[in-house]
Amino acid sequence: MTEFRKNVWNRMAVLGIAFSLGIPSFPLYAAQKELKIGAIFPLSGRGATWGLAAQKAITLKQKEVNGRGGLKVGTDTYKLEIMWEDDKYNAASGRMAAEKLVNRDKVKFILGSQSSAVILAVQPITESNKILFLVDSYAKEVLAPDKPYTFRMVLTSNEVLQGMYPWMTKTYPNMKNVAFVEPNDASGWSIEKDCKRLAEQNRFQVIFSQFYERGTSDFYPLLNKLIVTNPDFVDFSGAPPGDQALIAKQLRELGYKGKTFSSTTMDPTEFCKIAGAQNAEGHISNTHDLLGAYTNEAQKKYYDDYIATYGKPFDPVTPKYQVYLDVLVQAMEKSGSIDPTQVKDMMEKVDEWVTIFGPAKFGGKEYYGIKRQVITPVYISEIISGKLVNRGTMIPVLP
Amino acid sequence: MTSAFFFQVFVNGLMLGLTYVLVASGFSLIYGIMRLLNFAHGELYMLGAFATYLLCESLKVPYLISLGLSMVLIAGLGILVYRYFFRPFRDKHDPSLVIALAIAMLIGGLALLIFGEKDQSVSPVFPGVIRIFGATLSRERVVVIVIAVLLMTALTLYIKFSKTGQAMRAVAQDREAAALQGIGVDSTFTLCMGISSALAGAAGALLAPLFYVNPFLGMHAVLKALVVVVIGGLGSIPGAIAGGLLLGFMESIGNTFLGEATEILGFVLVMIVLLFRPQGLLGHG
Repeated sequence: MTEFRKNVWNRMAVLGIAFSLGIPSFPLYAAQKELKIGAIFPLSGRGATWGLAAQKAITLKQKEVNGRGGLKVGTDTYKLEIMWEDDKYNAASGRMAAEKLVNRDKVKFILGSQSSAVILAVQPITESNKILFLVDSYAKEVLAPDKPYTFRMVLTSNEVLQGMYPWMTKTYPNMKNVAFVEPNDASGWSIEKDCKRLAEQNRFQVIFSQFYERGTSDFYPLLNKLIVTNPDFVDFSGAPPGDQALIAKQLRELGYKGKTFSSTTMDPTEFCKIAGAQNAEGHISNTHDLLGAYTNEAQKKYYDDYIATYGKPFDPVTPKYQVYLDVLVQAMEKSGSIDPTQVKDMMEKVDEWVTIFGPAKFGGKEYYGIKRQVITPVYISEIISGKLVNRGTMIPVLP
Repeated sequence: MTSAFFFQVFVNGLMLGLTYVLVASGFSLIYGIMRLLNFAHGELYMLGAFATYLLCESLKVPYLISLGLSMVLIAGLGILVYRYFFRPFRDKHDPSLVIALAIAMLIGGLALLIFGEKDQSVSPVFPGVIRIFGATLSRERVVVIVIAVLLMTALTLYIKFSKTGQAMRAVAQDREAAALQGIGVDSTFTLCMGISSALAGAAGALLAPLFYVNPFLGMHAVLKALVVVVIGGLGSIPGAIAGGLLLGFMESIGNTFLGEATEILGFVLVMIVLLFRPQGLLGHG
């Protein structure tokens, strides 16, 4: 046999073995399909704090689902693939990212930004293409009857304050008035509007309210004016985490003795480091201390998974973003479909979803005109001696 | 409103103004000598803050030594930026602008990649507050005011009286004539970039314990610096001081009486200055 023939026989033998090994494994491979889900978040720029927190939480849930063999929908099993896009907290970038995800990657589900401007720019694409868009931003107009494919997966200041202000009224009956400091943009205006309305509904008098430009770090001039009004508590819910800590620090430096308050989630370690533990004392916020008094098994598991994947310290801003993919996965499994319309109908129909914060549902028919706002328990915590202490939990009442 | 309240408004304005002066002086110096709008100056300020953060928090270097080291490190970085990026485009106005913007974006992007998006802070160096005539000021702010005044005085004296400072002025006035007198234009530019960057580093290091440190500080700082130097006069150090203080006092008073409309005051002032004195308050025609 010549050298050439030997080589041909050898190659055919190898191909034959490979083919015969491949045939029995082929049906198994075919069962595991891939489901692409788009994700548009601010992964750089000033909103990156929230975008990267969302990315961590969503990635943890993706790993968990893929780790248990994938998403089971009917007889099919899907491996989740998240297509990450950076909107840079900018509407034009968000819109471009959505065009790419829808037209090139052909995704049917998009997890969305924390920027109202981005969401409003992306919605014409998602709604006209019947793409399920799960979002987080505070603007009221993000949810509307003519936007049935948009669901908000995180509580806004409206819902959180429905829980926190009644708690403040009950816990501090002597407090009578409140001052607001918010960033001067669409998000800040929207939050301030909610804050004012709900403060007044809960018998607090608004005695000061002023906006500041994002990027400001010296708040002395603004706070000097605020302190003269002597408010019982100062609410800066719309300010980013670092600004909140700076405002608390500078308020105390100027001699303010009242309470500081925020309806957003923050990292207590970071807050205390910037503000100084002494200046952070007594600060009330909507932060979930996963290892505190309200720990359930799911929260403990999230904490452990987080530390195993990202290491310490734990970022308490991340858990709320876990709800995005968690509810979507449940809705797909319950509906037995990956068709966005069927998943949407299921999300609307089911009365109780299981989340790490406990039972959740969608509401807002009266307030937003459509039942698309997630309702999860609101956790209220206070910083005591540099540590986060759980003070209460409330279920917001959203008509 | 009491006299203590108004004194607090004055002190707030002084502090705010000195913050602007610190950032704007280096920016103005570069334009004055090199005719370059260095948009990367804000990023050098941000790196100065990060350098101090790392030295103080990770290496536990005492704050004042960290301040000095940050100035040296950022000066070194500024010289490298000049040597490898600005020098090839030295006499080309438009490309150098684009390069400056590109460097700003590059440094900002790298900082985000390396340091992450979270706000960091330097532990309080001089805790506590002091009261002067009823006005309250943290000790940290007093330190910033004192060091800023010292730095500005030293810079002014250096440029006015030292041999290399005089060489800088000569190069700024007429580059070719200065070269004919034996002044090394390239070495003067290198020195100018080093001093300007050191000032950015000092600003970052001084303000880091007061505020927070993150990779996004640069752009806001350079925009304020631009407003300050246009008001004071591009290229003029006394102009940067005057412009910074004027803007600081205006913002402090504006916040007290106008509220959020204050933010546009700086731009209104820029427009007025450009209309009636285009070279800036203390700039040369």
